[in-house]
Amino acid sequence: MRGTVITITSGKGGVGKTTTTANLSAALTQLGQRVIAVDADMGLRNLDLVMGLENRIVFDLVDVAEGRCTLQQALVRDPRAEFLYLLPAAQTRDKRDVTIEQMCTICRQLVTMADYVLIDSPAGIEHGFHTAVAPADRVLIVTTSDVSALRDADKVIYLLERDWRRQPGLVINRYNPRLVNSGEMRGIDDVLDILAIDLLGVVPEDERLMLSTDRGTPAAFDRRMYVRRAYENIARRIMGANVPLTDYYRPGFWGWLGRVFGR
Amino acid sequence: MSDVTTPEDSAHIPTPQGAFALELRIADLLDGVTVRDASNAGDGGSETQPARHPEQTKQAEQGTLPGEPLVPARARALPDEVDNVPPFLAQSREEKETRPSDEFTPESSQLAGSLPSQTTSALSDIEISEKKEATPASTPSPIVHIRGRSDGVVIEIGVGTWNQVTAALAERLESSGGFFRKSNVALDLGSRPVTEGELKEIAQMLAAQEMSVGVVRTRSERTFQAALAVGLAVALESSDGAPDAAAMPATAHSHERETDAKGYFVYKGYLRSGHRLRRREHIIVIGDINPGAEVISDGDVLVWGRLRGVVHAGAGGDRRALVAALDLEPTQLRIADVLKIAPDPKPGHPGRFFWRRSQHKRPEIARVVQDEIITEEWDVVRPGGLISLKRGGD
Repeated sequence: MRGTVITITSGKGGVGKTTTTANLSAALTQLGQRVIAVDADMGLRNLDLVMGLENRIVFDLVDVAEGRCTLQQALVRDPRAEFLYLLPAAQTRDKRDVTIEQMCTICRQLVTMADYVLIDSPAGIEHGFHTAVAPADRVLIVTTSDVSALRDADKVIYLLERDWRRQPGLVINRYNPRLVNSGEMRGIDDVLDILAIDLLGVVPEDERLMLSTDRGTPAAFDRRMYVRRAYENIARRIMGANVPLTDYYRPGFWGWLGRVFGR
Repeated sequence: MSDVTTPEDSAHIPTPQGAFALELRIADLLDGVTVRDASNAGDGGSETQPARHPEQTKQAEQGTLPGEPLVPARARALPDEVDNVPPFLAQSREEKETRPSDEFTPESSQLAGSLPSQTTSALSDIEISEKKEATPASTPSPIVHIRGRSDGVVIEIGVGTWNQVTAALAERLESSGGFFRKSNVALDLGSRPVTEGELKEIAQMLAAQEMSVGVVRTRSERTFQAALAVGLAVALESSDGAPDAAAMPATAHSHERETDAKGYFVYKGYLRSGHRLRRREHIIVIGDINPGAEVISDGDVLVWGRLRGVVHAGAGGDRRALVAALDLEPTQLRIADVLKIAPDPKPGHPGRFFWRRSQHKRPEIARVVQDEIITEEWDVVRPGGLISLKRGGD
């Protein structure tokens, strides 16, 4: 069975593409899917760090593209999961070293091995972005709710619709329900109002998430973190399940209880 | 791999002197903005944003609302030069296009052509055009640039007066000694507005050398129309080098009514950040215009939806042009040479990116009254409808 290629992109840098890729990969693999994460950010690779697989890398994507090794040799297995592999980017090479055709060829091979191939796109809308988007069946746009991220996300949606005829899904990252509640930050409705695309999930802000990426343990592997619930929900929605949106607005004990138990 | 635009590519573009001049212009504009804000504050700090409450509208009708009298020179500079792309950018784009079967040249070249922020790009355009005016004679790049390609000859027309251009072209053709004989020419006119007569003149000069114009490439709407009138194949590119997607389907449409400026152009769907729609006709948008998108028309602009981007109606200088929207919340509104910017958001407000709509928001119409743009809510009970909007000419 052919798997699905999902590209995670944003336009603006620093909104959490890599974190989202790592955590979604982990969440999907915990739901029993076979997952391969591909780092398409040549020259600035860090998906391997976030996933904690840096020291296992021997070959990378450029080596595969240029035929120096087989695809199987370049895939790095994550020992914490049943079936989670990483195809790392090259740190010493440039974004131009992989063409769109090469990327598409590699992804055609990857989808025969896995259920989901997640591509971590580089920031920006240059060649690297197009290389990452070209093989995608679905595109996820990660955005925070600040104006610059929204403006860039809007532009990326425009480009996707114009050049690639794709309707992307949206992940709102670093969502701060407290600020939204006090009316100081744009809420989910405001974001959807302007971007007008399907919402796939909301990840609340959590400073421990930053620590977990720093340690190289995706939060989705960490049972103590409640953010992993958000990623799990997104993963379920990607798989086609109809999971209601967690209501981060509800204050008080019952709201907390609801969040902990996922409703 | 020549198609890829790296950040370095675009980074080298502003010359030191250019960067300095740009900075000056920004400072200049900021000055203007603060002055305008100050004048607003002096008037009691009341809102000048187009989205307005009924009582404020009444104020506007009585003429007590502080509108923004514009600096006409600067505002006038905007419409014509939005299209401008500096010649060196046009050149680098040309080099990029040499790679065949390139799926995303438009996009990569767009990076070189457009700066992300709308204001900065407009600013740099102004700055560049001013530089042009300052040193017309001593342009470093040749006025006419002829290059051979496998499929024909590309003639790029650079900066200079039309006489300089024709002289330079004649000289180049003369010196080539018939080398380009019988070749098919792609004529790149850049953003220069060229009349029908001038186009015919060039075609004749080329015909004298047994060359024929295969296609005209331009970023100027005026040249586009002129080329259609002369009967040449023409490709209109938007200022960022990408083929103007929205303009494409309407090419035949505008060909039918090439002399009729009163036609209209309907766009259905979202206009997102970075999207630019420029037409000579009246524009009707059925959908939303997001912040960062631009809609420019020689006639009226009517939006059946939310207007939050930049709109320029009557870009040809027609002050009678109107802007109407179900939800009028533009970041900037221009009608002919009059300009109005959105007020700064109030403290504690989530920002102008998302102006909260009041529950009973009505459609609004913006127009120019005595050098100011005022907005009026559409009102069912207004006797006789919009009497005041009747145009003198019609």
